[in-house]
Amino acid sequence: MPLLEIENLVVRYGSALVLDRVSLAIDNGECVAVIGPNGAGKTTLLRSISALKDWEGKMSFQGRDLAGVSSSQTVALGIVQAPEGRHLFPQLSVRENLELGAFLAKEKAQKDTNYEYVLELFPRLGERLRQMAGTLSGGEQQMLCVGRALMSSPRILLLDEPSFGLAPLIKEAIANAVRQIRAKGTTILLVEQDAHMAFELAQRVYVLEEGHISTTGTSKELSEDPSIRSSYLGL
Amino acid sequence: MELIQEIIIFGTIKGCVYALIATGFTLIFAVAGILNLAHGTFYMLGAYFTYTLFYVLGIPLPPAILLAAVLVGALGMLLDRVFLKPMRSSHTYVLVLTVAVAFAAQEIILLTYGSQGMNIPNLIEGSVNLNGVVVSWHQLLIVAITAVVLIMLWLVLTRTRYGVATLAVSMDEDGARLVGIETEKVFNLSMFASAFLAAVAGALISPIMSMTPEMWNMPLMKAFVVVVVGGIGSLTGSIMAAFFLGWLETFTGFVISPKLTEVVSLVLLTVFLVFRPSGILGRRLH
Amino acid sequence: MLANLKTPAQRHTAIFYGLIMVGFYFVPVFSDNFYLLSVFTTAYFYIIFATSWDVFAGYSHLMNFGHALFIGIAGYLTAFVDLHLGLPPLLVLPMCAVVCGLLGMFIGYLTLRMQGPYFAIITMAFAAVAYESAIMFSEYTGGEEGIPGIHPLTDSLIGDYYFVLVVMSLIFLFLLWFTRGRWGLVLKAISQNEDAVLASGINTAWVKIRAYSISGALCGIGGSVYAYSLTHVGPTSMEQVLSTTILIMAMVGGMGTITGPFLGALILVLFNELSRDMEEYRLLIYTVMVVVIIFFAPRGIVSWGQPIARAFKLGGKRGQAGS
Ligand SMILES: Nc1ncnc2c1ncn2[C@@H]1O[C@H](COP(=O)(O)OP(=O)(O)O)[C@@H](O)[C@H]1O
Ligand SMILES: [Mg+2]
Repeated sequence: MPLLEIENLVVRYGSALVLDRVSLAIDNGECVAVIGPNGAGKTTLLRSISALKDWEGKMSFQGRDLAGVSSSQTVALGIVQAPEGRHLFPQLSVRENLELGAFLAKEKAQKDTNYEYVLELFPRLGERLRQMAGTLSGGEQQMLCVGRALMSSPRILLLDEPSFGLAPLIKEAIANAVRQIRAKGTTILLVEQDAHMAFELAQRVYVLEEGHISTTGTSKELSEDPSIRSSYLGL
Repeated sequence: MELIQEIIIFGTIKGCVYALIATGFTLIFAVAGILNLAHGTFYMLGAYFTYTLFYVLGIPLPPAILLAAVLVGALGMLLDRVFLKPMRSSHTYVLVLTVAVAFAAQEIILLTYGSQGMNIPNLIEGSVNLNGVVVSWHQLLIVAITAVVLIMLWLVLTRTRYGVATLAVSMDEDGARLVGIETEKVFNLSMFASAFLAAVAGALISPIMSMTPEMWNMPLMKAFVVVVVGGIGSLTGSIMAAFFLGWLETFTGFVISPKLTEVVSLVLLTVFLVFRPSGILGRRLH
Repeated sequence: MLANLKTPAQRHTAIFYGLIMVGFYFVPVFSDNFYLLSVFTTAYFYIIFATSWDVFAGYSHLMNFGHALFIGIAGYLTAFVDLHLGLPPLLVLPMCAVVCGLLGMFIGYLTLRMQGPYFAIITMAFAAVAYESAIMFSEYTGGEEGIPGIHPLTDSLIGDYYFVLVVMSLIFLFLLWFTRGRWGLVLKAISQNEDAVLASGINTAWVKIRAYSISGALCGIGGSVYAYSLTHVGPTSMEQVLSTTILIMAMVGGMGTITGPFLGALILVLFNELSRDMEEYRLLIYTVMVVVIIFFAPRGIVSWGQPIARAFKLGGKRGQAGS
């Protein structure tokens, strides 16, 4: 049984159909990427999974039906997102942001372990614990965003364009962190416009175009597909 | 010298009442984006409920005020859950519905209690001479209670789990939902706190100012001024602006003309909205 | 205009409002009861106020909580000009329109960048400043008492009735024409997505300022006729309650439709007057009814028009598609 299974997901904004019968499945421990052009519906897909947006169709997580589950409950189930736009708490410190990441965590020991883990992953956050999140640089904010998500021990981590708008060096640091998270066995659903990064990090890739999945396959297969190479890899 | 003392003392008392009114108004605006035109209604109900609990049911004054404030808080939650929840994101709907509720409440109070002004007794009788300025004990108590209430609010917001969650929601609602905060619960608690604070202010003022079915207008206007001057969404700003307004009004009344006290807030409001919008606009509205 | 009535639903709407309007002209034929005529005259005033409110606030969704400002300014202007210069109403009305139009333009300019709640507060504040000034500068304004003795419009009740009705009809028709055309579309589009309209090369600031100016000018005409009709103007003509009542009428009828505020004003004024024998419960019932209508029909009672028409098989399928 897949960890997260989505069948015929349909999402609308008003009368506009944004996701049209999207189906995908992710196994435990996998790292799967969704790529697609701007406006394809990638963010909408992640927002629906996190119950920030109403949807129709079928979604299940660990066999449990996600219909009617609130955003808070999805976090409790272990579906955690580092969203597009980061959505940090700008007037709170880095430490407070991380603590809020563990809002639903019950055990203090687990919280402490996660805290250590995040600071190990992003040592730069450790140097800025008392700084307000709103005053961090873009790269640091992205680290904090991923770090905050890790604070609640995710079963599946949803990453929405984590490298967007970052300088190459910082981008590499984020990619590195994703590799480490993956190596620890956390399942990852990565949304990316940067297809190079997606192919490098993910085992399998879905291509989302205008609200539906146009192609899917392993990273290796797709990176050899001539049409994908020309439209996404610029080759 | 005495004049300056008087302005400081009476301005501070006024400022306390404004601070109680405005913090709740700011809180629910920052958290849920609700500009609640029925906020003055909570203030009014705080006074009238206290009156009934005290005179009709014979409950001693301090618990009567507390109980009245809790009841008003519950009504606030009810208003939010029943009327506002379906369309919280529409400013238009929220504005018109809350103003309509305010008028309906005014009529209910008018029918129940009549239009004549009423008072409740002071919490403590008597007065004290502060360096030549005579102040009633009740007025001093208003200052003390305000201080305690505001400190408690601050402690709740910074030290408790749902207090911090409230701050988080006011800064980024999606972010808050993504860490698992139940925003609906935060809205409910904020609405409770907001109505509770306004009710306390209404009950504390009514030994000094008569309660009437129209008494909800004044606090609403003051809340606007305080919130605009202090910066929407900023609790600290609101509290500072509340005292600023209290002093400025008292100064105007004592030094220039009592006729002008009401105009002060209007002028302040217009000047700030027109000439200092960038300096005061809160996060929520850029 | 008739060329625009393409669908049966639109034709039925036009017939519906046309009949109401014609009916208004025949009221004095059936009764010259003073009370009845004055109730209808009051309704016409509120129709002017609510529909002129709608052309800016209803279409742009910027809640104007101080529309009575224009009523008061026009009223005081009318009193000054009438009592000191002795100009005839037919000169005074355009004058009030111009002054209030310019005032609308000025406020529109000042408040251009303000969003929903701020806009609500600032409009409230402007009207309140005017209200307080009217009380404060009592040498000129008569303070709380106001200024009595404005000359009446005509020398008979029926004459006044028709004067107000004609002004109301002209304003209503003008607003229908104005909002059903390009300007109405642009205003609606701005309220939905201002950036997109800007991107298509339209100066949205100017569109909004212009709509506010028209809103003010028409309300100014109404305010002037109102002062003539009462032969008196006072600070109550710019009270917050009046502004709020206007906005509630528009919301109850259906914002951004012109016909909605027309119906809202008519129904609420008639209800308010006809329920006089409920004595003290009248205002309670009135306010509670308003809350209930807004709660159940946030888009106003005009939004009931289509279901009702469908129930009676009016309009038909094409009507729904075309609206
Ligand atoms: N809040 C919204 N309201 C209306 N339409 C939206 C909203 N958010 C996104 N959309 C539309 O949904 C489509 C998909 O957007 P999104 O999921 O953000 O795409 P992506 O993340 O792939 O760039 C776009 O056409 C966008 O215009
Ligand atoms: Mg996106």
